Amino acid sequence: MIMENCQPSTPKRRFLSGLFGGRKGDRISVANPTSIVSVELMEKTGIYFPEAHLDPTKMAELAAAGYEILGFDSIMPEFSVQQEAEALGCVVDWGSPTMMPDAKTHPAKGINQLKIPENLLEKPSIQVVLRALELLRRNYGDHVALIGKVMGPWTISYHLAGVQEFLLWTLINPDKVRGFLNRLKEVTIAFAKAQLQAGADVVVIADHATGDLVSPKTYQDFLLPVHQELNQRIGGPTILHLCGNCSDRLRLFVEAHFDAYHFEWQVDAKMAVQVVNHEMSLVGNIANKNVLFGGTPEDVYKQARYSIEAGVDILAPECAVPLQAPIENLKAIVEAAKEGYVAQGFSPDYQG
Amino acid sequence: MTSEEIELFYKALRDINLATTDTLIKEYIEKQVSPIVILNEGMIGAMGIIGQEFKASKIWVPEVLLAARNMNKGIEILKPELLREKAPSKGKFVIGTVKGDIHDIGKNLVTMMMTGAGYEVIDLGIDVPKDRFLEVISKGHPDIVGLSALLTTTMLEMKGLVKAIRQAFSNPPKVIVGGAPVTQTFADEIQADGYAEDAVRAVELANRLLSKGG
Repeated sequence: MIMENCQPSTPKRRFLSGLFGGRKGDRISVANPTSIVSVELMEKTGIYFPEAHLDPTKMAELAAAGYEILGFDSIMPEFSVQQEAEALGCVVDWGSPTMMPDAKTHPAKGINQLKIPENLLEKPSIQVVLRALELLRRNYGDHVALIGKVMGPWTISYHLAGVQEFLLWTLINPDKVRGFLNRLKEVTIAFAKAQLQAGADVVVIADHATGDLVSPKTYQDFLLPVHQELNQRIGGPTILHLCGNCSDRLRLFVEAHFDAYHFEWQVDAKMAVQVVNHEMSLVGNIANKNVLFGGTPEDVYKQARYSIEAGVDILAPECAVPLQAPIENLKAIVEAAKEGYVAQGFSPDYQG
Repeated sequence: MTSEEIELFYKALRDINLATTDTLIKEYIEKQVSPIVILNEGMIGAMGIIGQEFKASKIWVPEVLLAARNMNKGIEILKPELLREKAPSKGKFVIGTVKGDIHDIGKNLVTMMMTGAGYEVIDLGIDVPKDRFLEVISKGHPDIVGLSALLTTTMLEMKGLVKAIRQAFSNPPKVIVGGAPVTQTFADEIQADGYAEDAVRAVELANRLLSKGG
């Protein structure tokens, strides 16, 4: 049978096309560079936090719910931002079904206290992600996009030194900040490469020099050269995740040579598309607080359509979704995308 | 103080060298300027400018953290002088991150800005249980209590706290809420006295609540 208007429309092809800003196909890809796990998904799969952070099979199965149950085009197995922190010596509270993990201690106040273990990739909190990706590659790697995730050196510095201390150092001790970034970028590179080798199609680099915390100049002075080096040395595709209102520094992310930028609702999608000018793909940007968590499926639909019509390359929640986000809101993202590039209008009785 | 003088304090708060604030304050004490004037017009005036610049995205969190560090140093030097003159505080403010939540950057910024604005602040830290709030309120009689949460889960703690505080005291303090997931709608829903989006607005909110005469 010859199909009319044959389009590259499997989840993986849709996603990869969006990632590299290629052929648009019949509809936009829906993906999650950061976690979309919710309490409801845990209930449906019978796999809960905190076990899913520490057991590769559970991690992979819970992550796959994003594809199996929600209909996203991607599977991203790392839910927390603390896997590297524990491997580097922070005491991590792995949380509960309603609470994400958090580092309880910040053991490095100076560069000489930074200890990167030689067997970093063998540490349990790192291994779990690599094993989960291998499982996912075997079960889904042929048709679903697999996304890996690593923390950038700025975020790892927050965990190791404490956020306030680290931010203050940018003014009073910039050399120390550079020392931390230079040392810790090796963790990011090693973990990213290992995830690509384990089966990830792309890795998200989450590096929280966020628009609400630091200036574009701080990003430019401290992180831009480091990010350029990361992208060069990692080799495989990368997505930058950096939250807050970054409207004033989008061109810097282009200069850092990321394939895509995962952005927040605070950044207007139309403006972003214009500024970035297809030199980097845009992934986003449905609001967590007021829409995915506090809104209705109709609210989700409206924001999703706005992003699609603005010309975003891949549709996604703006950040890791709140654990109590209702499942129908998460499904509404996929429903909005299924309409294609021309809106049909919200139908309140869609099969959510 | 003239605006040029306030500018000197502003520059001291922005200076990465702690000694600048130290020297400036000692110079004013030697000139026999009242410590209350140094605090209220110099330091708090300068911190006010920093707050406005932060709100307008002219400066970012590192600059606020630096100003707060310098401000704390300044208050430390002024404290013995102030105790002699009994500087009036603008009001007493108790703040804490609610039970189950260990995030504190937002809360710390509020603490810094409220201190900088002339409030006497009791910071209870993170993961503060209900009974601890009630105990401190009954002993300290604050004018305002601030509740902070970063997580959508712990935010729900606030509802019970607002209720408990109102029930426990015949003349309860104003309760204000904030944190990333908190919205004005949520604040209204749990019947808090106010919501502020950031630390600068928290000071404005506190000023407004207290000027209404409680």
